[in-house]
Amino acid sequence: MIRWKNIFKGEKWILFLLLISFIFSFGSVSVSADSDEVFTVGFDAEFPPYGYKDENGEYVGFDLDLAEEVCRRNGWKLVKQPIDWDSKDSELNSGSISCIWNGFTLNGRESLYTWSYPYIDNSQVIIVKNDSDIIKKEDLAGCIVVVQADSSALAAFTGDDASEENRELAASFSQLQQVSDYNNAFMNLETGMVDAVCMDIGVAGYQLEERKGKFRILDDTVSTEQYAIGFKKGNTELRDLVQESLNEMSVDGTFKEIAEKWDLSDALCIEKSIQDGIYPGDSDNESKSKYSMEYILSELSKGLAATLSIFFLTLLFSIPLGLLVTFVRRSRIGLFRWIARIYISIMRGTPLMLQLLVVFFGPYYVFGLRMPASYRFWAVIIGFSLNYAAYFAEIFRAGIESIPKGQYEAGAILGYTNGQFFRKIVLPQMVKRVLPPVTNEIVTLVKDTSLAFVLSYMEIFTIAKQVSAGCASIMPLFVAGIFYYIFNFIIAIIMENIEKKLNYYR
Amino acid sequence: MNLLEVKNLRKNYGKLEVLKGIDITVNEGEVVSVIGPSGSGKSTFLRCAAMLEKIDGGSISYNGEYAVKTTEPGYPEYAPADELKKIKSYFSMVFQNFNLFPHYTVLKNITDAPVCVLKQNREDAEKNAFKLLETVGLSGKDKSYPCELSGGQQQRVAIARALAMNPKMIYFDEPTSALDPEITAGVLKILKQLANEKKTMLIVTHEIAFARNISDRVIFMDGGHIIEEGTPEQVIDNPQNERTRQFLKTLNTAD
Ligand SMILES: Nc1ncnc2c1ncn2[C@@H]1O[C@H](COP(=O)(O)OP(=O)(O)OP(=O)(O)O)[C@@H](O)[C@H]1O
Ligand SMILES: [Mg+2]
Repeated sequence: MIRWKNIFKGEKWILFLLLISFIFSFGSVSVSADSDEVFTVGFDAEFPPYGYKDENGEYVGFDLDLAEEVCRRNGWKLVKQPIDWDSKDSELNSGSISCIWNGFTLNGRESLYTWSYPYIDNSQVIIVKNDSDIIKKEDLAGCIVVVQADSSALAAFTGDDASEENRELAASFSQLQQVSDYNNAFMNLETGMVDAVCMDIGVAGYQLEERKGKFRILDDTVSTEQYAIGFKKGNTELRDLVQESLNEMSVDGTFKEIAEKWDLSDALCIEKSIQDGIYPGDSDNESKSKYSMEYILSELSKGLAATLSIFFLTLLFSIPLGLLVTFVRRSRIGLFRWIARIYISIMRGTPLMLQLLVVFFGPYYVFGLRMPASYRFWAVIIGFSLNYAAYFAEIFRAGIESIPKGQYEAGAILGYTNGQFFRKIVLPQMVKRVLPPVTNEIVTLVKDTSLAFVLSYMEIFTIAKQVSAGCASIMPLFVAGIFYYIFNFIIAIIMENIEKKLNYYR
Repeated sequence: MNLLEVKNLRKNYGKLEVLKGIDITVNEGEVVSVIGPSGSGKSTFLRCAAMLEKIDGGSISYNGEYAVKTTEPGYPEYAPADELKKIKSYFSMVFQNFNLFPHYTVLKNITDAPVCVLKQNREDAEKNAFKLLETVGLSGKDKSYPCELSGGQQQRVAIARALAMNPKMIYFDEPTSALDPEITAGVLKILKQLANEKKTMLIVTHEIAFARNISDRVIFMDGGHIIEEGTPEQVIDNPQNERTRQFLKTLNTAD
């Protein structure tokens, strides 16, 4: 007894402290409840059934109902804050929203947020053309599969937490292509540039509804991803409060009721998560290594060769082509002149991005041709070369026409042939005269290479955008910006030197 | 045989009749000056004779070979390309504003056409070019670019360039009118020198004193016609035609 007593005596202080802190923490919650504490849920307003705008213009959805209930239990005031998905991280970090609660995929983002327990299991499906031979997952071997950049499907295949099975499946593909949006993915699929698209089942259902009859979903699904609530990294306090309410809701059946209302009971996994009792991502300490500068640089450097080859090949093709267009534009035959004028006018009058899409998808939609996979690269080069040739043609024409008529007459009197005269007298002088505007075009081209993203060609900017989305930071974009600047800086120096070299005469 | 024979040459610019039937002959070794008021068609005549402009009627022949003739009125016919090329090699031209190639050195300006067109070998062409530079008083300027030379020096290079083609005849269109008066002397001295060497020349000029001094024959043009033609003494000192007198008088009062 004495022994017990002694122990009790020793622990007394600690118990007392615990009691005090308990009262205080309770107090703080109740106090803030009285003062109408606000709980702001950030969500993408176009993601039914988790959160969207209904016919009446109200924001509704499964996740919003859950949030409503959590707030009720905690005495908070719920604010539904639709956000631009690209700025979700800034919203969260600045504190303008309390959490992201929006069918928010946790897989692949474990280390970026402080997470609740996952509560929904969502699977990825594979979509092929109706007349495709692909029936099972195994049939995808040797095929080109397309996924959206920074999507759950991509994470399922290549993410750090991708299962062995999915990794093997991805390895069997001839290529795993990324596109910027689902519309683009379906255009790729329809034109036969890719064999299959992998995406969220929810999204797939909607997309197939829109494109009736052209595509079908395989029975095999790919992986499961899980949805959870994302809090600002380190904000475990708020997370724990919300999780506690969710646990209660799971126990008393409210959770299930709400899931049934939204037809999501099959996908529910909250009970299992509570049993496991593991908060995703809490265990990894910072996991900085994945998104270090080295990682960003090594990823971007994969796009370096692509950017450089777009740049150099475009120059290589567009300059001679531009010269040719100049000749046609100055031809003695009126019809030729008109063809060149129309060509130049179209190339300069429509967006380069559109031209790239036309070059890439045109062969299929216009002629029904199925192009090989390597056409993606050549479409970029062809699109850029055709466009830049038009600009160069006009620059060259101005250069040629700025050479005084008297020189042509001197040439005629001296007996030069037209070819000799152009090569020896016109061309060298033209080069000097067009150098400043050509430098402008070259500098623009460096930046324009980033437009290759519309064809999902993996140049630096496309990759920077993807890495940036993946690690929730604008650092990769910033690094890409520095790259473009340095590239252009070098070009400016080179062109300046060439100009100096040509300054031996006036 | 006449080196140049022009008969009934007509030239219109649209509705504007600039040359209304010009007849001129130039013999080998002869120096002919063409004078006349501004807009009378002197340059146009020169450019037609040098085939920089297509004519609308009449004929031009060099050395008895027709460059162009008109059998059916209104349809002048030019000789085939290869013959024309040969005929063009008989003459050269020095322009009012030089028209040197600015990206070539003086030496290259003089040697490029001989090498490229006449297929001379480079060494011979350069040897010849140095000799010509000496003639025009520009030894040592061979490595300069045109922009580094004065107008008078540029014109002398242009003369050397014309001479390098070894033509039978040289046209000059107001070779000194783009130059400051004090530096025309150098250019005129070279023309005098060439005249003494019996080079065949046809010179359009406003320098009446020079024309009198250098020419074997003077032609006065006005309104697209040849008004008077003869030795300098006849045309300049004792003009027969009222318009010639009027023209010479305005020139004298202007001076
Ligand atoms: N390319 C052209 N197009 C239209 N008219 C022209 C052209 N060249 C010359 N003319 C006209 O032809 C006429 C003769 O011009 P030209 O240059 O032969 O005169 P010019 O005798 O050389 O005069 P100047 O002493 O001023 O050099 C002028 O009325 C001129 O306006
Ligand atoms: Mg004139």
